[in-house]
Amino acid sequence: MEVADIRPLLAPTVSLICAIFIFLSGNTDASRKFWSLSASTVKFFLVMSMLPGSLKGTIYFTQLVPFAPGVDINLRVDPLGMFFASVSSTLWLVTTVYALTYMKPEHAQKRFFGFFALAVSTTVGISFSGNLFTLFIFYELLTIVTYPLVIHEETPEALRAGKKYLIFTLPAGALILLAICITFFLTGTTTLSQNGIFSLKYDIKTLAFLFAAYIAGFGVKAAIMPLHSWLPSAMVAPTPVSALLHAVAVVKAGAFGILRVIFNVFGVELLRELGFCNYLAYIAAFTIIAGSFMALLQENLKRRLAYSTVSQLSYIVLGASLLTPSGAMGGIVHLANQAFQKITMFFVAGSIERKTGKKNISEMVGIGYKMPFTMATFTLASLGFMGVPLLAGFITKWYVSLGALEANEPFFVGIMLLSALLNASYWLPIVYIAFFKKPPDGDTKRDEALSSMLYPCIICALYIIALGTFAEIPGLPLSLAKTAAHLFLK
Amino acid sequence: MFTPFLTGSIIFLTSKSFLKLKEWLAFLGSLLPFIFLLLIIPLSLRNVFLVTPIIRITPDIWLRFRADQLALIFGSTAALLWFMASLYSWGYMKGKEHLTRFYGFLLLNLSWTLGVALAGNLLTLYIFYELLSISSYPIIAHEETPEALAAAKKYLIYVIVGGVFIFLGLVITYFLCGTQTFTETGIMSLSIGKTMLTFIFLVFIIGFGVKAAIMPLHGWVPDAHPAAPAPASALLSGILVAAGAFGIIRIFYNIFGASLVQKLQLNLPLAYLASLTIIVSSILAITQDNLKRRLAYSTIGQMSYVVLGISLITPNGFLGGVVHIANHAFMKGTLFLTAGVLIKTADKRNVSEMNGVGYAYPLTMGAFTLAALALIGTPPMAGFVSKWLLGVGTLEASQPLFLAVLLLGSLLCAGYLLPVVYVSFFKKEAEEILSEPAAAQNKKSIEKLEPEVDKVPWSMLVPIFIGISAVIILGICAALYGLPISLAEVTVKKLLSF
Repeated sequence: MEVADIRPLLAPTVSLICAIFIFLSGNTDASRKFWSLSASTVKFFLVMSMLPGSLKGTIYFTQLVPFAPGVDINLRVDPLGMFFASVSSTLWLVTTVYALTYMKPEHAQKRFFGFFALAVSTTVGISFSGNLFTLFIFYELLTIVTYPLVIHEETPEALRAGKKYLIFTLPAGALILLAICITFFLTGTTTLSQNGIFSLKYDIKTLAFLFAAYIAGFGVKAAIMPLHSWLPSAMVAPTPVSALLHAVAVVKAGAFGILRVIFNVFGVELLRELGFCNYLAYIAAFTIIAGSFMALLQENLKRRLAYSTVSQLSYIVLGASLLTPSGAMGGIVHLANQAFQKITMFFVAGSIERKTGKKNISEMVGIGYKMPFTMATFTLASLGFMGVPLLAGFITKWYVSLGALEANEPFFVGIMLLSALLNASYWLPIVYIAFFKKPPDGDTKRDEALSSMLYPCIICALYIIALGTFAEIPGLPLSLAKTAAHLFLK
Repeated sequence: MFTPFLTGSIIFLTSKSFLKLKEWLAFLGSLLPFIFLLLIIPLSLRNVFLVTPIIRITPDIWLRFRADQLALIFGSTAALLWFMASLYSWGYMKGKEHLTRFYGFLLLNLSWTLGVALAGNLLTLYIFYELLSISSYPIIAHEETPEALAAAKKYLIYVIVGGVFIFLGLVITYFLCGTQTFTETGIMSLSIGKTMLTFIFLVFIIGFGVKAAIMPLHGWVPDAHPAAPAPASALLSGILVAAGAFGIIRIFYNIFGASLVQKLQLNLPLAYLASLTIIVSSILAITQDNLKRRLAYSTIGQMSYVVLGISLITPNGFLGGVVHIANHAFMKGTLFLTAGVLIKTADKRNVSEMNGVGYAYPLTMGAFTLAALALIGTPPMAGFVSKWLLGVGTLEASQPLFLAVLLLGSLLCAGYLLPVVYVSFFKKEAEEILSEPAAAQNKKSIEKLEPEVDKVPWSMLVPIFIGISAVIILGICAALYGLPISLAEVTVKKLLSF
C-alpha cells in the first residue's frame, strides 16, 4: 500500500532547519545544544512514527517538484530505506549527546554542528530516495558537507586527508552520474523498483559496464578494496565525526547504494542470470580478509578501527551479493549491527583520547582499571565483532553464512569464520592489555569519562546485546531487514 | 526593449553632477526590460510570438524583432544579470572616473544585447551584434590602465575580424536564399550545394566562435576579463560570450535547420572542437593564479558546453545547451561579482593572496562557494541540471565519449574552483610567517574585524544574493513553469521535428 505523506520530506528537513539555525545563532554552547538535541529528538520520533506502518508493508512517499524533463525528486520510504533511516537517526541522537561534550574544547563548533546536522539530513535523504536521481543528489551533497567535518582540526594532516577524501569521492560521484545517465537513457526511468529496472533485453556488455560503474562508484564510499585508502586517512577527524560518518553515514551510504543497485536497479533475478555478483562476492571476500590483516598491523587505535570498518563493510556487500534470502537479510542487518558495534568502539576511543590523550594501543596498558565501564563496553563490542552468540555480530555471521550455503558457496562460510578469528586476534589483545595488565605507573584509581560521554557508550552496548539476544522483536532492525529482504527475494 | 536605450541616452545627456540620477536610471533601465520580458513569457509558452513591425532601411535591408522562446531565455537572462550588474556598480564604481561613460555604455550594451536576443532575422542580429562588440570596448577599457587598454584593443581586433566573417556569411546567405528571416526549419536547402553550405557554415562558426570563445579563437577572453571592472566582467562572461553561442544556435537551428546540419554532418566536428575546448581550457584554468583570469578560462570551457549541447542535435542536448546559457550566466556572474568584492574592498586579485578571506567575508565567500559548487555540477543546483540534460543528450546522440568529456570537465572544474574555496576558508592568513607576538596581534585584529555588512556596500551584496537565489531556483525547481527549461522545451519540439 502506498500512502502520500509529508513525513518522508520532514525527516531530512528537520536537520536541515537545525543546521540553518546553528549557522545563524550557534555562537553559544547553549543554543547549539538546544538546536542539535531538539532536532535529533524530533527526527528520531518522526522516523520511528513511520516504523509500524513500514513493518506492515506500507510505503510512504512525498512527490516533490519535477526537476528536469522525465526526472523528478521523489522521496519514498520502503523497508530498506526505513531500515537505514532508523539506524542513522537513532545514532544521530546518541552521537549528538556524545559530541556536545567531546567537542567542548574544540574550535569552530558552529561549523562543526552545522555541517554535522547537514550530513545527517543528506543521509536520511539518501535512505528515503525513491529514485536513483534523488539518491545521487543527496549522495553528492553528503560528499560535500562532510568535507568540513573531515578537515575540522585544520592540521596539515587533516587537510591532506580532506583532499584525499575529495579526490576519491568526486570522481566516484562522476562515475555514478555516468551510470545513472545511461540507465535513464536506456530505460527512461530511474525509479527504484522492487524487481529492478533492467531486464535481459538489454545488451549484456552494457549491463556489465553499468554494474561495474555503479559498484566502483558506490564502492569508494563503501571502501571496497582497492578503493578504500581514503578511509583510514580520514580518521584524523574528531571522534564523533569518525563515529557517525565513517562508521555510519558516509560508508554506509556507499554500502546502501550498493544494496540499491543490486536489489532495486538490477534486481535479483537478472543478476542471477548474469552472474556479476559472483565477482563482487569474491572482491568483498578479499576485502574482508585483507582489511582484517591491515587492521592487525595498525598501532593507532582509530586506524585499527578504520581498517576494521573496511573489512566489516564488505560483510554487507558479500551478504547482498549472495542473492539469497538469508544472505540479503544478513547483509542488510549488518548495516545496523556494524553501526552500533563500531560506534561504541569509536566513542570509547574518543573517551580515552579526551581523558588521557592516548591514541596508540601500546599506551593503553591497564586502561581498564581507570575506565572500567568504558572498557567494558569496548569489550562487548569486540566480542560482538568476533560473532560471539547473543551479541549483534553473531546474527550477521549466522545469516551471511546461511546465505552462503543457500547459494552453494561454502567457501564464503570459510571466509566468515576466518574473519571472525582475525577479529578476535586484533580486538582481544586490546581487551587483554586493558584489563589484565597493570598500568605502568601503578595508578589504578578509577577515573571514568564524563557521564555524558559514558552513557552513549553504555546505551550502544546495551543495544548490541538487544540486537543479538532479542533480535526478533518487531521494530528492531532484524524485523525490517527481513521485510526488506523478502520484498526483493520472493 | 528600447527602455535601456532611452535611459542610456539620458545618462549621456545629463551633466556630470547628477550621479545619483544616473545610478537610478541604470537601475530602472535594466529592471524594466526584465519585467517586460517576464510578461511576455506566458505568451511564448503558448507559442504566441510578439512581432514588431518591420523597419525598412533600404528595400533589401530591414529590421525585424520577434520574441520567440530562445529570445526570451537569452533576453530575460541578460536583463536580470544587467540589473544585478548595475546595482552592483553603485558600490563597485563609487569614486571612479568617467561614470557617465560607464553607465551610459552599460545600458547601451543591454539595449544591443536585447536586440541580439529579440532579432527576428539574421541582419538584425548582425547589426546589434556588431553594435554590442563595439560599445563593449569602453567598458572593457574603463580602467584605462595600459593592461586594460591593451586587452580592449585585443578584444576589438578579435571581434571586428569575427564580425567580418559574419558579414560575409550574411551577404552570401541573402544572395542565395533571398531571405534571412529566422524560421523553425531553417532557410537553407540542399539545392545550394554541399561545398557552398559547408563554407557558409564554417564562416558563420568562425564569426560567432570568436565571441563564443571556441578554441583557438578564444585569445581575447583571458585578457579582457581581468582588465574590465568586476560588474563588466560578469556581463562579459555571462552574456557577451553567450551572445556568440546564441548566434551559433540561431545559425544552427534557424538558418540551416537541424536536419540540414545533420545531413551535412557538420555538427560532430563542432562537437569535437567544443570537447577539446572544454578540456584544454579547464586545464589552463587550473594553472591561473589571478582569480578573474581563472574564471575567464572557465568561461571558455563552460561556453563550449553550450556549443557541445546544441551540436548534438538531440532534444535533451539542445535543452541542456540552451538552459546552460542562463545557468552559466548566473553562476559565473555571481562568481565574478564576488571576485569583485575582494578586489574592491581588500585589493586581492590572486588566489595565492586569498588565504583566510573566508573569515573576513563569510557572506561573499559563502556565495562564491555555492556558485562554485553549482558550476562544478553539484546537485541540486543550476549546473547539475545542465550537466544532466547534456549527459542524457550525448547518449541520445549515441556519443558516450562526450559524456566522458562532460564528467571530466566537471572534475577539472572542481580542480580549479575548490582550491579557491579551500584557501579562503581553511588556510589561515600567513600565520606561519609571523612571529609569535605578531601572530597574537594578528589574531586579535581578526577578532576585531568589522562585520562584513559594514565593509561591503549593500548594493554589492544584494546582487550577489540575487545571483545565488537564481542559481538555486534554477536548480531545485528547474522544470517550473516559466523558467528556461519550460521555454526551451516548447521550442525544441519544433526545431527538431524532422
